[in-house]
Amino acid sequence: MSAPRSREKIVYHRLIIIFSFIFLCFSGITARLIYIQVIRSEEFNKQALRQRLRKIKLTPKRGIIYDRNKNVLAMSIEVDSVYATPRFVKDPDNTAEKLSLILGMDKSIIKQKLTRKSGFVYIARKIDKDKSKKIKKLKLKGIGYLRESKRYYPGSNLAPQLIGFAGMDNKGLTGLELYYDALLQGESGELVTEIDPLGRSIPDGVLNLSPSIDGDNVVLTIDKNIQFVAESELKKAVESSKAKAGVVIVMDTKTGEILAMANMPSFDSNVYNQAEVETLRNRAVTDVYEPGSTMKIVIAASALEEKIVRPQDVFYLPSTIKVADKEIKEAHERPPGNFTFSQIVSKSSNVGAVTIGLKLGKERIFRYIKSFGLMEKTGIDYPGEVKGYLPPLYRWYGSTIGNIPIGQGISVTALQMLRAVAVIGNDGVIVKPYLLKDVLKNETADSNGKSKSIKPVSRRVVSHETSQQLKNILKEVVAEGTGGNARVSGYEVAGKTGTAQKPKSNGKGYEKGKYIASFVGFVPADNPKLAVIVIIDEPQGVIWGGSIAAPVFSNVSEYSLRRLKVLPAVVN
Amino acid sequence: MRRENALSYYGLIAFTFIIVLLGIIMISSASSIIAFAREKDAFFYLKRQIAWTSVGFIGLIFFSKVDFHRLRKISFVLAVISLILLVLVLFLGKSAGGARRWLILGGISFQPSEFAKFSMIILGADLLLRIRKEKPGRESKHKGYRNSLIFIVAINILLIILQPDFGTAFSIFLALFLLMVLSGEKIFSLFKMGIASLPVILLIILINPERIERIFTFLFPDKNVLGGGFHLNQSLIAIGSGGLYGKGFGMSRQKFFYLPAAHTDFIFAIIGEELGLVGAISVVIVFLMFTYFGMKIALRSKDLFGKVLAAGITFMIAIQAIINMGAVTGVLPITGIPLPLISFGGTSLLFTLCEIGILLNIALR
Repeated sequence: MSAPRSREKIVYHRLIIIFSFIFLCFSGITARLIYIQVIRSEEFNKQALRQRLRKIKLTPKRGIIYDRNKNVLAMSIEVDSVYATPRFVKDPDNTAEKLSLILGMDKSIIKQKLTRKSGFVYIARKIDKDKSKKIKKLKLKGIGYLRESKRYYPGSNLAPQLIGFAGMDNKGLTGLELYYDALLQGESGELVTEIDPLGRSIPDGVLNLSPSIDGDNVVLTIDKNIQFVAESELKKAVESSKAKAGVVIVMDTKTGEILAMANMPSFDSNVYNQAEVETLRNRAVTDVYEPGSTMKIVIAASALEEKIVRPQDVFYLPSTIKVADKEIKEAHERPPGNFTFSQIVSKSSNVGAVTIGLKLGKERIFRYIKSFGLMEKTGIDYPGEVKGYLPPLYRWYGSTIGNIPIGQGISVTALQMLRAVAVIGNDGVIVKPYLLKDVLKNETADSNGKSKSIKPVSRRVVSHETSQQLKNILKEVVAEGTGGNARVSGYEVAGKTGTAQKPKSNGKGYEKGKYIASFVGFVPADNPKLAVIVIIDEPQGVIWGGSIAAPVFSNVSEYSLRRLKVLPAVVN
Repeated sequence: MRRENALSYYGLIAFTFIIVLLGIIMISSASSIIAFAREKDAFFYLKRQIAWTSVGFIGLIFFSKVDFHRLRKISFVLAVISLILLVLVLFLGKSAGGARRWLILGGISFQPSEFAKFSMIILGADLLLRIRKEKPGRESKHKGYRNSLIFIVAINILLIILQPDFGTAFSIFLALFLLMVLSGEKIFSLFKMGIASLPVILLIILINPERIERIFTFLFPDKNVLGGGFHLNQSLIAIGSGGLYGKGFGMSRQKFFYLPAAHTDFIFAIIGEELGLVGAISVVIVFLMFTYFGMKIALRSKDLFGKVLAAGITFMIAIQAIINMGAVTGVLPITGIPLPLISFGGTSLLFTLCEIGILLNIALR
């Protein structure tokens, strides 16, 4: 009896021991839980957040660019981008084949993308709607689509240099797209979501959303129709004269609003990556040229303002004039004779201009050139504007004073010259040209629909009297002088032709047979609405500004005046 | 039924209910995401768990009514069935995650290793106590029974390791070892057996590089966060980010595919994440109470077979709970065994409930 009894005891004791051991194990786990969930809780919490929180950038819609009449010049549209998740692609070869047929891309390139060791790879970004529709119909495994916003330019090749373009990432790269990028871009938002290890978002896992704010819409001073006419007239002139390039600027004489800024050769903004580099520049503000005879306007204005001449003063001019070591000739050889001051300008006499220049002296010439804004940027709201060059006084050689009055040895941009000439049309006051007329605040922004308007900047350069006198002379240029082709029926035009030889790029002498033909003026002469400059770079054959540039001036002005409903003056 | 036993009897029933209910509730949360992803039905695993619970309770009632002594008579039959099933699963079993653990019988998957646990405990309690029937001085006869038990258990364990399912094999080994301790085996011979089994365990570990990695991960968890340490790290993140009070029921983030096996082996981590320290410790306490009542039934049993069987069943459940919670919290190596009555898994649930039925039957006598 004792043996089983002792055995019961053994079992009893051992059961107690084992249970104690189990109790200890449970206590150990409890201690461990306290350690993990209290002492190290924060650390694990951070780890948890780090692995599942993702910040997603929300891209705002880029603002619209309108012309002054709210015609769309640039807008953003939603398009598809095609991407692949390579490990889900079942048959890379077949998939690449099908995609290449629709996208017109090389099959091997697509296949290489499809077999890449990555979770995400773009096949083609921002493709046409019909292409993406076709691809979607194929229901290819591992191929996905992203809605992306793409910049679209309805006018295609309307003012492409001026408007510029925005790149793949919707950031402005050139032109006004670049200059007003901050306005157009808007503010990107952020979505903080929780994702699982495969990158899918966890339902109800949104923690924070700061919505994106769409970009503001901007209204330009440009008139789409005037721009179109300026471009097509310029194109005609450049093509018929086989010129290298050309520029037309149409500006509101009194306000400085730019109504058109045309450049040739041109390109299509929608396929800007196919454009040739030569076509991309907005030459009106980025290129300088030697103005030639149009410079005589500034010299004449200075002489009148300084009262060293009156319009009817008569000068006896020899056939040529020698300044230091240089002999200055007329463009068309003529015998010596008497010229009034007016005739010097209207017949564009080089000898006469130099004679006046010598009377003025270099200090005064320098001062007036500066005053007419030819030595500073116009300050137009456009990126990459340059200013012309005039040597500082201490670097004027003996012959310099014989060059500057006829527009040589000085360089300006088309816009600078237009602005200087507009001074005469604007009663002696210089304006600041600009392109932004209005900013239409986006509805999502706090200032509801309030628009920002730009105040014109102006400064007096010459007196009312001087500008009146010179205006009359410039009318003569068109009425009976070199600018006859610039006439606009029903309106009186004031302006000046220019034909300048192109200097060699090394600065020593001039290129033979390379000219810049130009015409700059304003219309209607007595109460000008428009100031227009036309520049034709390297025309072949006939090279005269009066023959090539003046007709463009005439056609563009005529259309613009009608479009702007400027009443014709009663002339003859 | 005596009064003290009544308390254990009803206590055991109560805590069984609590644990099973907790399991169903937590599976409804932990399995919903993976269920929807795999089966397009968020309640896929929940429905199955509820179905198995119903079957399990029928088993529980059955075994609580049938005299447990009858089990002793069929202990060999059960062991043979277990062996047959374990051999079958190696050849006909469904392979998943690199292991053959399931037999598919008429659309229902069945895990023979769970049946092995059940049958080995009954066989163990039977054979280890046969000496008592013999006359004193027949020690060698006892040794014969014991050695044949060791032999049969070893074959079972070996077959389970071949699946491979090291965790289940180890929990059977440990439960049977505790059963030997309990049944009055001499300390010295226990010690000898322990020493003898060590090289075998080591060999089994070393054969499989994955087990070496798990041990390595266990010893140096920070060194291997992306490899084998990934599971453990995700488990710790789940529990740790739960903090004191948890994220709230259903609010687990780790169940979104960060934590693997969230509804099976790692469900305790989801409990820690959703219900916090309060919930996790409650689970520990519930298991502790369960073990306490199981032990109490064992202690009170007048019948030595009932005593040892009750203790063996209680050990088996407690050991699994400890190994599972230890692995999930990173104090024991990850072996891949379920948390009894809580983890999703029909066979485990069924046999655990049957075992509890036997416990209740022992308490009644």
